[in-house]
Amino acid sequence: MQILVLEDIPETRDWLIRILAKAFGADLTIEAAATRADGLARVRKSVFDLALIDLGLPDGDGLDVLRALKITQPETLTIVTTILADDAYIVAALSAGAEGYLLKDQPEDVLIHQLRQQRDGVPALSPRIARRIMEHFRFTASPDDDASLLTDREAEVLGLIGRGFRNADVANDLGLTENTVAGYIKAVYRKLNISSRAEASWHANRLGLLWKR
Amino acid sequence: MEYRDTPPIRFLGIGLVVLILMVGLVTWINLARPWLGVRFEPTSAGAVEIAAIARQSPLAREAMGATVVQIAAGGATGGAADGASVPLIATDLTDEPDKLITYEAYNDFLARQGRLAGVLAAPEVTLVLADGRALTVQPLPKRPLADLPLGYWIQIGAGTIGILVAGWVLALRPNDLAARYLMLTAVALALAAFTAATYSSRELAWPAAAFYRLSSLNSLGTLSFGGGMIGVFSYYRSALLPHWVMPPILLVICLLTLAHVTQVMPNISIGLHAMIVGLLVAILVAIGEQYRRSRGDPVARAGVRWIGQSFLIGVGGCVAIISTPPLLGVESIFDQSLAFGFLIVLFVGIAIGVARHRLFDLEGWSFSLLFYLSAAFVFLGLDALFLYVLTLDRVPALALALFAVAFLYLPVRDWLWRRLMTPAETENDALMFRLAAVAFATGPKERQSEWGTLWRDWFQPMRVEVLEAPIPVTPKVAAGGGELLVPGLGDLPGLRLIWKRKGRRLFSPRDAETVERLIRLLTGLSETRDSYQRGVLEERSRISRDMHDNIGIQLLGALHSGEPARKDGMIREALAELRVIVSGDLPGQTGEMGQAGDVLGELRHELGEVLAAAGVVLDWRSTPEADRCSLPSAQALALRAVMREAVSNVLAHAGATRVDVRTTTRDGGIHLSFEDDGKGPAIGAVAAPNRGNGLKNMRSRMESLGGKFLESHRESPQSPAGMRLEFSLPSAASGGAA
Repeated sequence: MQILVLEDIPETRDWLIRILAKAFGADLTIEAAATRADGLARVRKSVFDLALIDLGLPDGDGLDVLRALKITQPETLTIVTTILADDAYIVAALSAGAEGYLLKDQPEDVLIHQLRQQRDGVPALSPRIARRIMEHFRFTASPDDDASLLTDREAEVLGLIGRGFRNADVANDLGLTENTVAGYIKAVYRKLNISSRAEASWHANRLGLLWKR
Repeated sequence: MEYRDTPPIRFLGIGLVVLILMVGLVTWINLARPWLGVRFEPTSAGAVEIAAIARQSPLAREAMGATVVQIAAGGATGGAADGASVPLIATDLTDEPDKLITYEAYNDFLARQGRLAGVLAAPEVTLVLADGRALTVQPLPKRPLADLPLGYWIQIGAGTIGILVAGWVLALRPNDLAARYLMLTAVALALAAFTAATYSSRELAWPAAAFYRLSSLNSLGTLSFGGGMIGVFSYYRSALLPHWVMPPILLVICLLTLAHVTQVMPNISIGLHAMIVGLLVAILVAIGEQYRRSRGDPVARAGVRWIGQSFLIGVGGCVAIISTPPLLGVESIFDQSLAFGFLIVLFVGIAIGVARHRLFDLEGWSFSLLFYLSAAFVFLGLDALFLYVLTLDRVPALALALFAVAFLYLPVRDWLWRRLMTPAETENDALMFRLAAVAFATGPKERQSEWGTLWRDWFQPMRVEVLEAPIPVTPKVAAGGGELLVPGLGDLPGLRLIWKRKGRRLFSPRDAETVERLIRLLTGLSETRDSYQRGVLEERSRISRDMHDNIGIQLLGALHSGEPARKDGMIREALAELRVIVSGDLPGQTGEMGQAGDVLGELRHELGEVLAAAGVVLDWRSTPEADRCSLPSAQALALRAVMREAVSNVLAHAGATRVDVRTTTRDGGIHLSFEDDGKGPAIGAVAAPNRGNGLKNMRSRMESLGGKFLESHRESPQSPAGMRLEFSLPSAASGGAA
């Protein structure tokens, strides 16, 4: 498995690499980068299965690297790692195409559990982020554009997650399978992404990445 | 001088219209004379020759260059028989009889003029030439405009420009004594110039009585000009004389003028020219004194020097041409109109001085008044030109002419008028934004600059000055509508707005009311801003309180904790807390209370993740009443702390596989129960002293908020194993806030 770890604090970077080894076994090739520029360079050179991206980097915004990845390697599973970022920032990362996010201050075993879940396609969503996403759709969705609107079911799932329900609880409560619930959450992510795709391609242009495709 | 109920531009405009009418009248008088179409010139031998013959002249062209010996009324057949025949001499052509030195010569000149005018008034006039030819012509009834010599227009121009400049200064400085005397000077100059223009550009003669009157008025104008100048330099820049001294001086000058024109004086040199030189000396003394007094004040000195030099060049040149030769007993060789050209220099110099040296305390802005005025007259001129062209029959058809008026002239004129004459009206909303800009400007400097801009945009005054103390409490109209005094507001200075709408309007009491209303609005806006800033400050102090109470204490605890796992836990807790504060999502952060459903949801998720990572199932159920229950932030924080503690106990010691949480309400307060299926309290309490410590913490945390803590066994059908904890908190004091 080819993994990119973008993290500027050396201790945290090593710790993340240790956690990745514990979560996914020994068969890993991990490239570590500490700056936005280094991250962009590596995205141009190598192909990754998974990328852990820190948002606040000394030379700029990790979101740029995320966008570059999403344009040139849309198959890569991208997970934003953060510690103090504003919830709105996480929503922005999800809009930019991130599949998930991790809070770096959580205990090791919680992180390992979440990493494995996200690799297996179970998206992470905390109550507060769920509430932010609902707000986001309330403010940005236009009634003329179906693709930018949440369905009733998606809204229902978000609502329950917003109240602290975990995916299994949601599935239980609504009489669905956990897989279906995960599907709804992914659909919500996709819609967030659609609403910001135009912006993403603008960023890609700016970074000179589009011609590579 | 009670003109202050009119704004300066109207004052100036009316003055200019009167001036133009005067010029028109004077010109008309000069044109309504019998005309031969001949320019006579004196020869060196004291004779008169024909120097030029106009195109329209009835005189045959071969008379060109001939010397005219005499002119006679009637036909040439009878020679000079009918008696009305006058020999021509060079003196008859003099442009200024004041040059003649003695009153005898002057009176003789006037008498000859009278006879010549009589001859010219006849229907037929005969010119007798030196070679014996006699040419009989019928004088034309009117002189064409184009025949007036350049000298005429120089003189008219000198009078006009003087009045314009002085009127402009006076309009803006109506209470300035020097400006008033400058106006007197200009009026005197116009009187002298217009009368001189009339008689010196005559073709040959004026009737004696008319000539005498014109000449007397010319003397009055000349001497009053000197008197006015004494006034100007007596009060600019410092007052050399008390106010009451000048009028008697002017009266004396008038009496001396009377003595001159009634020929009481010995001769013209003394009666007029010596007087002129005397006045000049007085003026020079005044200038010298002004210069001396301006020592130590470079700005004043530059002003005095500038206006003094303008005077010396203008008047000095003039006097040198007019008065010096007669005083020396010789005839002037210069044309008198040249002298008036020098006086133009004087007034143009004053106008430039206003721009360069703030003469009369005026500055560059005062030129905008001249600009608007001249633009207005350009329009009048355009209109007149258009009417002239239309009436000339030069336009082929009336229909075409009307078409041109409707579709070309009027729209273009209207467009130009709006561009030049109408100041850009600022929209009301834009002005409201200005108001907000003042209230919400970031720093005191920006605020003050926006404050000035607000009034500049609102009233478009020519000029804005910061008021020195005393600043009025309420807005006041001052200087008869020329100024509006705006009171200060807080750190904003009081302002003096001068000349509304670039001098085109006067300030009215309604403007003062407007200012009062705007200041009230501004006060309200400022209060809004203050309360907003108070809110920001409160928020900041809340954050710092949270930082201290929650994060600071957590980190301190972590620092002093010897146990690595507990240290990590506390640091994590601190980071989580920090995230909550950064996100601004703390329950009850603005004094409101969160709903238990939302507040506990976050906790539920967090604990679920932690337990899931350890393979422990969390079953959390809550009643709708409990979800809606309001939860003050202190209670929320306490519940979060005790639940985290409970979960970490379970993970550390109990070996449990599931945890059940139930949230309900009791007596309006929140009630939580926490059960695990682990080893239970009896064994745990003995085996792990830390765990007992944790339970003690939970109890004190609950009781400090007036709540209860219960510790018991899990009610389970299988075994007495597992622990049950119950937390209840009292209903939020403020009751049912959602």
